[in-house]
Amino acid sequence: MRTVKSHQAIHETAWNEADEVLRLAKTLRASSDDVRFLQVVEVFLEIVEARILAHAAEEEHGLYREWLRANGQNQPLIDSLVVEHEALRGLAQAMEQAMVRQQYETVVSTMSELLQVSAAHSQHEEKILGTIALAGEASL
Amino acid sequence: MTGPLRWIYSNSYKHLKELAEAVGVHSYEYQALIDMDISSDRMVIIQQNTQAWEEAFTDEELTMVGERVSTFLSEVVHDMVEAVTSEYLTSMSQREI
Repeated sequence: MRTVKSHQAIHETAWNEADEVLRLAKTLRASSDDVRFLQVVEVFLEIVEARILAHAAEEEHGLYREWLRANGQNQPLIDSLVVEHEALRGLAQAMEQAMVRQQYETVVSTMSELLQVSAAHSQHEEKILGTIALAGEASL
Repeated sequence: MTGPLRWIYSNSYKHLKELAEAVGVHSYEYQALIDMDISSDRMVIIQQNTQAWEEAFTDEELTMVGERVSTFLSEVVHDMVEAVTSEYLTSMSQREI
């Protein structure tokens, strides 16, 4: 998780997995296959929780603290990344609530939004990690 | 119809998830389903690998996370931990041989 390349690989693998499930969910929704749609959305949320949000929590408890110890001036950068993590958590929660209320169109759009926010966050974080690595505070 | 417990009885699912997470069992390690095809009762089915636990409850019990539901979910979580521990010990003993 401390090098740019391995960090990129973690992001890409989780995102691709979730994106594949999103495509399947959209297909099932379009064909009104509600029974399988309910199951696929659960799988999507499990991927988000286990791969994306768990990764975010690990970063906040480990990597970001290391960046801060290396250089206190990294604080505003870390704050901006944590704000993005909070947005991802909020979207996962909104998706869960929409599912319980059977608002399936909202669910699909929230799934898409969550992956867009996740991709933008990953790019942002990798850029920061690259900058920190160039400053000798992390490995490339 | 069989569907995820998570969307149909979210309170009961949350309770299961909290109990499981408290002992280190994550939601992707099991599947919690609800079968609504049987009379007026709802059958809760929890699957983990090759094992499954089933119990019938009323709609009200599952909505309110009644005492029977809570007890059942606690027992399932306990059994899931036992099963994982037993599998681990078996695999370790086989490695030693």
